[in-house]
Amino acid sequence: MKNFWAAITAALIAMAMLAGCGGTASQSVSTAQSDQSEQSSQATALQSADPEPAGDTAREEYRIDVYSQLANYAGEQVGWFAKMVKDKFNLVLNIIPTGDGVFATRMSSGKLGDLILFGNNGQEFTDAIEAGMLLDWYEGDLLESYGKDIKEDLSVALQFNADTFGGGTKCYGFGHNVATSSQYSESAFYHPDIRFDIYQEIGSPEIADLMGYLDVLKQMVDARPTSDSGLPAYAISLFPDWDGDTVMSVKCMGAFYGYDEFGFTLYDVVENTAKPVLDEDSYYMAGLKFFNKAFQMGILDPDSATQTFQDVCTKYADGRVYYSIFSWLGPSNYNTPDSLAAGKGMFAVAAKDQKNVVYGTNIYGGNRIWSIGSRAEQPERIMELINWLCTPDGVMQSTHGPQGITWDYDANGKAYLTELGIATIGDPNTAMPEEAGGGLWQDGQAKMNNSTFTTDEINPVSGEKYNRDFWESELKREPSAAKVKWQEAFSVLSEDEYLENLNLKVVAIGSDFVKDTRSADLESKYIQVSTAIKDGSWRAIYASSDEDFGKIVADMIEQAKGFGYDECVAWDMEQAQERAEAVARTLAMNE
Amino acid sequence: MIKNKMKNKIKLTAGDIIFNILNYLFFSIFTLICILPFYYLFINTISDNELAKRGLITLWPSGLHINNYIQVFKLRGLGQAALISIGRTVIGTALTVFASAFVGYLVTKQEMWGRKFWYRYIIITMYFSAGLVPWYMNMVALHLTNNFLAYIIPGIVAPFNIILVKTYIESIPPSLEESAAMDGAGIIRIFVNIIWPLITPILATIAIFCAVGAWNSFTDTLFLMTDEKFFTLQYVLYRYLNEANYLASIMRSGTNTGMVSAAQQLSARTIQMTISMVVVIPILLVYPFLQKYFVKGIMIGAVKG
Amino acid sequence: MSGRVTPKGKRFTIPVKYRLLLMLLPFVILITLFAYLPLAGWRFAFFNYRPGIPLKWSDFVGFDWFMTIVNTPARQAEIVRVVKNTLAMSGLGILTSWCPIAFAVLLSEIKNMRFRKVVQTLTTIPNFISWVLVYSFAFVLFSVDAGLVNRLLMDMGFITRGINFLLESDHIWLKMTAWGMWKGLGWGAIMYLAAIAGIDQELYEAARVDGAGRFRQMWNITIPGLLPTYFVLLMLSIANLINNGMDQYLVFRNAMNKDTIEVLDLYVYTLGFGSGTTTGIPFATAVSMLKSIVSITLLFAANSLSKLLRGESII
Repeated sequence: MKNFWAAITAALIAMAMLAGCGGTASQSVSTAQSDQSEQSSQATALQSADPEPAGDTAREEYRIDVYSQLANYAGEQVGWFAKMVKDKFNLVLNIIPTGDGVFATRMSSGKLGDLILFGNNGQEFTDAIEAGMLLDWYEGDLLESYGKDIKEDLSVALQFNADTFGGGTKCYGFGHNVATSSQYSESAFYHPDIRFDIYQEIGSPEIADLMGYLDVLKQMVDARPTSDSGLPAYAISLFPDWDGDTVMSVKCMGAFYGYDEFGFTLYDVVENTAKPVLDEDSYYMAGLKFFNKAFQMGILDPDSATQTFQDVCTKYADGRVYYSIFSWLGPSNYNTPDSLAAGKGMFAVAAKDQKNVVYGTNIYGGNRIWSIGSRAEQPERIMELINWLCTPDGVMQSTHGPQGITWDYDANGKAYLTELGIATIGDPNTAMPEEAGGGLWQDGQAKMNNSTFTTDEINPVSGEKYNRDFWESELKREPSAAKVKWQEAFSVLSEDEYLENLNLKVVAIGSDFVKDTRSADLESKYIQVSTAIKDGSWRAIYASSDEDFGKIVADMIEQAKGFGYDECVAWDMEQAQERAEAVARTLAMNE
Repeated sequence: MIKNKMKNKIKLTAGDIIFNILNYLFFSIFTLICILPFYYLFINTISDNELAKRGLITLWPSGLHINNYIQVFKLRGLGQAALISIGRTVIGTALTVFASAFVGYLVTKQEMWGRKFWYRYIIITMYFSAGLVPWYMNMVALHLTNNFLAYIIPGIVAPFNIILVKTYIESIPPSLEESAAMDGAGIIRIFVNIIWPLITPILATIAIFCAVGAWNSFTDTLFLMTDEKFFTLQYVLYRYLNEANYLASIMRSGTNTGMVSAAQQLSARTIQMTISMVVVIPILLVYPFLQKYFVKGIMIGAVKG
Repeated sequence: MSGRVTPKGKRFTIPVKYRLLLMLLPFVILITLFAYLPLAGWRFAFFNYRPGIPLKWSDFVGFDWFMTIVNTPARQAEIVRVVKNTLAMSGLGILTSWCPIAFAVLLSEIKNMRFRKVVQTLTTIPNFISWVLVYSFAFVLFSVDAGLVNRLLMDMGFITRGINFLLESDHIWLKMTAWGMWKGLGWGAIMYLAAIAGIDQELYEAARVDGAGRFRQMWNITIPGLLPTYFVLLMLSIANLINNGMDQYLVFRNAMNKDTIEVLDLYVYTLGFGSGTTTGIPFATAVSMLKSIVSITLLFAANSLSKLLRGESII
């Protein structure tokens, strides 16, 4: 009993002390903050008197709240990127990630952040504008004095934002992956990758179409029924946790045949028309049949409906799955240096009739918006930071690390990775030198996690793409034994070349199309229809026979219609019409 | 002494023996089932990461190493976060236990003006939920953002604990309190000298509930704290455990570009498992210490004397 | 009391009934601040409220959001389905609510203190593991090829092909109750262990002198000693009939079992926040208003029932 008392008393005393300390600490913090804000407002005053920012090196440290819907990191940016930003701009970035409800609470408090990165340009972005949370970039001399490069190189993206969201006169930022021309396409990620070693083992049979793919996969499984560790292997393994409006893997079958996902429709990127997913002849239905057939043939992993993305990664890593929809799913888990050296690996092989969707570069930018909070104390200094990120120097250094440390330009002005740079790719936990900020490589990566220019844009300094996969120095690095076999089979060097040379791709033209926001009522219908379609699709994939399949699909359609499928599709079709018009505008401009 | 002798003399019947065997058996098996997942996490964190990554560690560890733990302990800001976590747990628990005991005692006093009303006024809040945004706006209005007190004050009055204490006090023979009142002791004195010692077991229970709750919570940090000096251990670790979720939510939002970089940001599953271990272990270390307050049992007679 | 004992005190003393209230006051203020003030947010349920945008700019929609729950035949069918699941699983929870008592009583019969402590500590472990991790462990146990259960069954020759147990939609209510029990039994017993500790040991001595055996002591002393706590918890769980959380059901949910696994909380979550937008806030607020009202009604109903049956009121 005495012990208990003693414990409680001790705790109470400790509490009293700590509460006291806590109080003073927070007080001193708030004084510090108000001091800082006073000083910074003085600094602002000085700034506006002297509009030459670059020469002013002795500026006050400025700590900004970066609310990023794309970040999964909380707290101060550290490491090499922090050092860069501190040295160049004397800025400290305090990263605030989002989460269920975080946007709502920050909005309700009236302050989203100083630098704000939106995950998309939908309702939340327009609400923030309506509530007056975002700064108008066109106001005053902000762009002229502090955002020269943005004004010059991204004027189209800026004006697009102004036209769409600011009535043509107010600009609230710009989207990610901006390109200076819409004539090119981004690097492809929609292509089927299969275990190429096994495919060659069974004699590299021709694959005519989607259903023909199943026979080949079946042969592969029959030839090698177990994985590297001896567990049963499957051709296909799916997972439900990334399903959006519809089942992700099923809609991707559309992307293999020229259809981009578009709500409850699939958008034909060549004809620029939309097809409702539940139409009998849609590629969504074809995808469902494909996976169900695979299930009936016993080559679809029965865990598919109950596993998570991480479980699937484990399976790929062990070689238990032979087919991958995304270039970064199967290959990035299976193609380890060890497997590649052993001649095993997953590489792109498409059916002959496939037209994989490749996204065209977009001069208007994507939907992940860079914006500045209307209550930021020194918006000009935030603008300087964004401006730098829009220069070749900023893109290269924020993506590939400090110049001269992880990469550099060679005598011919071409970029190459240093030893350390190559090491960081192999192991992101590689230590960085003290003069570059120290710490580990991955801790120092830019945590706000948004891009300005697309990495498929040409770096004017080197004349090569920003994307290091396309640097001459990188392409020349020794490919693995497994990759060489694939390269020789198709006489190509890269996946993009493969799709290009064998005429397996179509380009989804980037345009200034922006989806309208749905009314609250339509939104709630949309959610329920989506749930009905997703659940129905998964049941259909697991149908034991074709009749069973037909029955489940019919049920799904009936249920979806009950929740308002037709109304949702009508809205999607209107949107598709607008998208088609926007694409037509881009095409006219390109000519 | 005499009691013990008496106990020894009682012969165990056959029924008693069978009962004992079954009882031990039951608890052994159930305990085993309870620790299985924990065991599974544990062997994965100490096994060769390559094997764990491929999902091959299911029954026995293989290729032992402790690198995962070293890596987790090296995570930035872990020390400060642990301090905040311990601080909020200790202070929050102490205050809540005290408040629950005191309020629980007060509401047993029939003499209180409007006792029933006030008791119900407190209790029914258990079933209120105003929603996230109103809660947040309220906290902002009370200046409880980026403020350590936000971890402490809102939890002080815990209706559930008050009910537990009240029920417990009501099960104690009222004669004890009455005799103290006769002696002229005031409310506070009776509470401190008579009630508190008697209700230690339930206070220990509440202490466990509060401590575990405080230790495990991270949503308050997520919404209220943007300054990393107030981050708790659970929050720092939550960011890692949340990675898969975060990735999925980005993917679901519909744009497919930029997926590549996101997919590669996932940290190893073994690190996530190690993190889950690291959070649970302190609870398991502290819990047995608190247990002694309610395994033993108190002799009310002993208190009287 | 002291006021009455010393009526000739030099100073004025507050009557005891107010003094008691005065002592309670700080706590009443706290609960008002943190539980009652935020209820102002309930008004959002009547507007097309979007955070950050002043309420005066938002459309007043009356009870529209409340009606969304039942405004189409498809939705009526849905709400009936999820309420049925909710009541079934809460009901099973109530039917099994005696288990922690049994656990505590049986555990206190274990005389080896070390064993008892170990059991007591280790059986609380599942309570500390989040449902997400529980599911990933369940997947390790039950996945088709690598799963321990399937491998065991195949090795013993019961089955030739693996079965995806997690996909099976039979007996979901029972299975979910079992998972819940596994996770909460050891933890739930803590309260009863504390209550057992509070039982006057003299009662046992007296019973032993009377020659009562072990089982009679359990039945006549221990269990009656636990009943007050049990009834309180039972009443609270009756009031919680429609709030059974969603984490557990969210992780175990899949296309096959969704008809029987979706509970009210999960349904509202998917409908209100599933798409990650803020438009769901008024709807979610409307639902939580309704839920609060139902819960409090149930609480008082359970209390009257207790008054009727046991002659004593709990709250």
